[in-house]
Amino acid sequence: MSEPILRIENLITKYPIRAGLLRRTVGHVHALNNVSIDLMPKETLGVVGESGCGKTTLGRSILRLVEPDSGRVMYGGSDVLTANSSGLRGLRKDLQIVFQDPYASLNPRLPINEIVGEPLAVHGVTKAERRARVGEILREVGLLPEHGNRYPHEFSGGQRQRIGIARALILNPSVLILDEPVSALDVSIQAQILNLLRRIQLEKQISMIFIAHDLSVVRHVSDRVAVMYLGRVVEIGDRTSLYENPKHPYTASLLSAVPLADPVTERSRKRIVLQGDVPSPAHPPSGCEFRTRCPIAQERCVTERPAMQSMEGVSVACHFPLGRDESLVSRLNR
Amino acid sequence: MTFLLDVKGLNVRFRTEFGLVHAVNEVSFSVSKGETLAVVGESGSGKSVTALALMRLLDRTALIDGEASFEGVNLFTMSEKEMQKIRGARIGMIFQDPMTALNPVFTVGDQIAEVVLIHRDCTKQEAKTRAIEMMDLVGIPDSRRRVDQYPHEFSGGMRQRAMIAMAIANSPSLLIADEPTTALDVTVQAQVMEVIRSVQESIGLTVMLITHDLGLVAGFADRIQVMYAGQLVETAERDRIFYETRNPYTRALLDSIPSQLGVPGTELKTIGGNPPSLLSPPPGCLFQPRCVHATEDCRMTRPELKSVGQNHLSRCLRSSDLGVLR
Repeated sequence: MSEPILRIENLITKYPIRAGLLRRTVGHVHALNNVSIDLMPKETLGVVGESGCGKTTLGRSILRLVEPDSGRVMYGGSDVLTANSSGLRGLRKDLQIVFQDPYASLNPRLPINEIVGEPLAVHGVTKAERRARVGEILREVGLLPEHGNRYPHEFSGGQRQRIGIARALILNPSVLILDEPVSALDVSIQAQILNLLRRIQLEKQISMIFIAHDLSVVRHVSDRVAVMYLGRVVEIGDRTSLYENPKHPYTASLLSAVPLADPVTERSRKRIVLQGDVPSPAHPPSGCEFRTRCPIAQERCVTERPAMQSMEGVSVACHFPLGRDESLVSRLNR
Repeated sequence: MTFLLDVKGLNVRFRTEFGLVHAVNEVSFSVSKGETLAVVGESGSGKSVTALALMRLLDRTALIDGEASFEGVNLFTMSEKEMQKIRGARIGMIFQDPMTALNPVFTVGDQIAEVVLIHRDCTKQEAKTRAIEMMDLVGIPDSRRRVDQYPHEFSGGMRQRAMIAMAIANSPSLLIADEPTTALDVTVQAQVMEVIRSVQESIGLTVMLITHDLGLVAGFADRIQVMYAGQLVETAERDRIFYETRNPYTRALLDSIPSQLGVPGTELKTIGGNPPSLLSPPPGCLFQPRCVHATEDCRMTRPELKSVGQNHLSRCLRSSDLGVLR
């Protein structure tokens, strides 16, 4: 088995909670709590979870767009988190990100040539070469070199997302982080972008971290999937095992909540509807974070936090994981 | 058969500085008592504008014509005063974003009670009791305490439940739900859809669900109508839309969803290009520039909505020679 290209070890990112007139820090929200993930070369790792689970913070912490409090992000033998500013500039050449909102992530005052070419300028590429490279990359993402002279407002949402992808690709990164890249787009446009990402990955052999809340999209693009809940990874494993035989009750209930565009399947499904909402990450429950909503929680889950354990090709953090071919419904009826 | 709502020839145009935008074109449909009708389409298809036009919630730049008879009256010809007696009483509406639809400076209970007070001759105390009753019905736990809380003390899912409570507080006969779960996480979405379903059963509500999510529709709707570029392009009973699709746009829309049942990692079928400008719609079929089945005729002739089966209408010149699209 080959070495991981990116190694995330025990990553912790906290946000301060400020209150009162003097905005004093009165506590912390653990947005990421001890997250460890390996990204293998050429794979797409999907990261799913509901709002507030820390998936966006994970993407940003890897690039130090927010500063993690502790842990390591190892890439090519060096730690991203301890790199100095020139070291970080070099690392960011290889690690790039595409943001969710194609309307907010492009500077409205700059033409596309400058938006896409800016990373090259930062890395000291001459103007003439920049122009040539930008034209080339625009073509690769399905736009035309002539589009370079236009401004963001002249493009549709899908085209803007193509521009965001072009900007991320222009430095030939080896790792691409995609933070909800299609959630702002209509389904017909979403399919175009997913196909584009698939083609880019096949051509350029890039490793991708694909962060999204849509489980169907993540299933479609990912080789492996990590499920997050309240700042922790609760289950991680290859796509097929995770989707076909989820071990963690949260993964199982998340999958069961996704409506399927097939009336016959919908009618025959037994759905587990989770009660309540995700607890506030400022006051996470004791023991297992998921226990307050878990339909199979027991005494032990209140007092003891489950450690990550390997079983049947996936890793799961649960005291009472579902067995092979066991569904949450069958466990509940036992 | 009598319809609860019968819309005929609805047109909505907006005056803009660039000219008239044809947001909704000649849309006719009807909703029977007790059924759930889903209106499906992408952004700009006119699905929300149709709902807002029915509720007369569009501003003065909108030009509406057509006829909408609801419980025997025409919604478009009545005075604003009469309309106020319909809105919130006979027709309830819930919106996409529960964060902005509630007023942050009043308690949730006051806001639900206000709807009751406006339409009924009752005391404040009676209205509050009704609010608590409604909160129980939509599954807001601990309603006696939460009735005095402010919207910021409610989570997204709880706020949407409060919106539903408000919309049904006067036992309307029709509920219009415009993307009610789009802003919510999937586990919360499942809860909210269950609430709508159980309320529908307990008070015999007719529901018009507006959404872009074909998954949601598959498990919830009795009948589906698909809109594209301001036009109705296909309408039928739910299973027919999914399994006996007749319109190329509906087929393309179904094919572009990465399904949990499909093969992962494969190329998705896409719809090339973008929807047409509604400022100066091209002649011929509006979907034609993006349609894989388009012919020369499609460029010239605008198709009519035609019957292609039992209660099944499709807007396509080629529907008889294409047959069922798979």
